[in-house]
Amino acid sequence: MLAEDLRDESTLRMLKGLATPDVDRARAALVRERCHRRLRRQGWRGRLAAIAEAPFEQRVLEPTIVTALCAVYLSEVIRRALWLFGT
Amino acid sequence: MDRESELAVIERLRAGDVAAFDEVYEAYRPRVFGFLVRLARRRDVAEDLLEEVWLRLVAHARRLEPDTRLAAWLFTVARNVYWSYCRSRLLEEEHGASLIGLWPVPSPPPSPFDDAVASELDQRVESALASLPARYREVLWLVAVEELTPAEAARVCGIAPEALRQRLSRGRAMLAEALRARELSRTSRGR
Repeated sequence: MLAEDLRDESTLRMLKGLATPDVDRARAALVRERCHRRLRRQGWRGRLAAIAEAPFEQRVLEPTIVTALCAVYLSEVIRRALWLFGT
Repeated sequence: MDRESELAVIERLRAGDVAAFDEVYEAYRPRVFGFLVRLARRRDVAEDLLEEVWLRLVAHARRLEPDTRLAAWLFTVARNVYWSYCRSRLLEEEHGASLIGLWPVPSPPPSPFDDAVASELDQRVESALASLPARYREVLWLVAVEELTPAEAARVCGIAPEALRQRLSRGRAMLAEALRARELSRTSRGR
């Protein structure tokens, strides 16, 4: 049994000494790029998901206040422009 | 990659860091490919399966556990992808049994390593390994080459540790026998 074990160990060592092939470089680069594109897409979807899951203040209140302030500012600009150049 | 670096890379991978993916890709690509090519015994098939492994890593990156062992994770996915491929081929082909190694393949297909093999001994070892059924090839490779512990290899293969030990023992004996047969064939040709 011991002799068989020793023989089997040397057999397993031969496996370890086998060459380590690699993928064709062009194919490796293509796969890498494909994975990068998916990772980036996931990042974009992740940010959208984060917005959808954000609290009420961040998701609704803040955009509403900012929009209202912009509308006030724009209407004031138009009013002054009309006063300067209009009737 | 040492364990500390691995844990840091996993954290970055979970955050979707592309550079972290590249580190894992460069570190493990040849190893996973070497495993797949010995399972599939065809380079073109192994390349397709390898691509699937990386796409699955990307899909699951954010859900990886912080203490994931990348080698075990990747080899588990690689193995599953291979066996899924075999099952799908079984449905398509009449001689699918030879693909999943239930019966001995009468003559092993040409080795995908013909260009890379450095010595006649390596050729014989590759040929002997390729002649074994896939379920023995995978355990031999995971334990002897990738140096997974028997417990890790058992988890990768989805079998109990005792079953893995039996399969490993049987696989070692079959490999040694196949090598002996090839050595005898070589010496008898030399006479």
